[in-house]
Amino acid sequence: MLFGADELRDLLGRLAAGQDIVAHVDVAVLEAAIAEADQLAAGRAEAEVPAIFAALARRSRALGPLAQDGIPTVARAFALAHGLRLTADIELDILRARVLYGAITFDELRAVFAAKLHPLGEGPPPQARKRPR
Amino acid sequence: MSAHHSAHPENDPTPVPTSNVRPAMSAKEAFALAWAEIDLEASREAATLYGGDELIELEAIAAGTHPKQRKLDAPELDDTKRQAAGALVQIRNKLGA
Repeated sequence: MLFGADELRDLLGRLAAGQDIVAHVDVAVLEAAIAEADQLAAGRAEAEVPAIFAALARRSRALGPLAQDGIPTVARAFALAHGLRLTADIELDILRARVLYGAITFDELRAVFAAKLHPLGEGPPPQARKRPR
Repeated sequence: MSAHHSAHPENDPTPVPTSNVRPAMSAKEAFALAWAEIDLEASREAATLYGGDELIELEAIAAGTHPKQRKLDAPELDDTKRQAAGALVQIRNKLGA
């Protein structure tokens, strides 16, 4: 994986602070997720984004309130680090639920992501953020 | 990858091994850019409405009432409603409900 458990913990901690979420991010959970993602990706760079998404989505309960925004953000960050843009928003909420409940295989997830990952500079522009008051 | 790739190797791009990949940007930079794409207002509203219950959230998406669906055009709205409804069926089948 491009990023390690400590980096993810720090970044998720920032996200929690930025959203006023009180959450403890257990680095052991992230280490296990990265280990599983490594297995899922099986050395294929193009599979890293769905792999980290799947591994974290399966651990949504352990991530608590951070799961909703944290997991899609990590997936997007991995995509960007690969020079790709993940053009999905609410679809990621649907996919996270399917992964969490075992209602999608990794091959299916990989196929969905393949259609939503585009080289930076291609594809639809990102949605503008609505700033909270 | 899959059997498809084995059957049609001439059509497949050569997979890039992860060991050869270097990040295009730092984790902090990638995360900051990724985070900027989140619709925080809709996200917070969803967290309040559904309390982190994925199934209730899927029901809302299937009904077209999820806060994140407000920004979608009609075809996108229909697509997400259909995806959520399909996901609910799959999950309920898994749960045996």
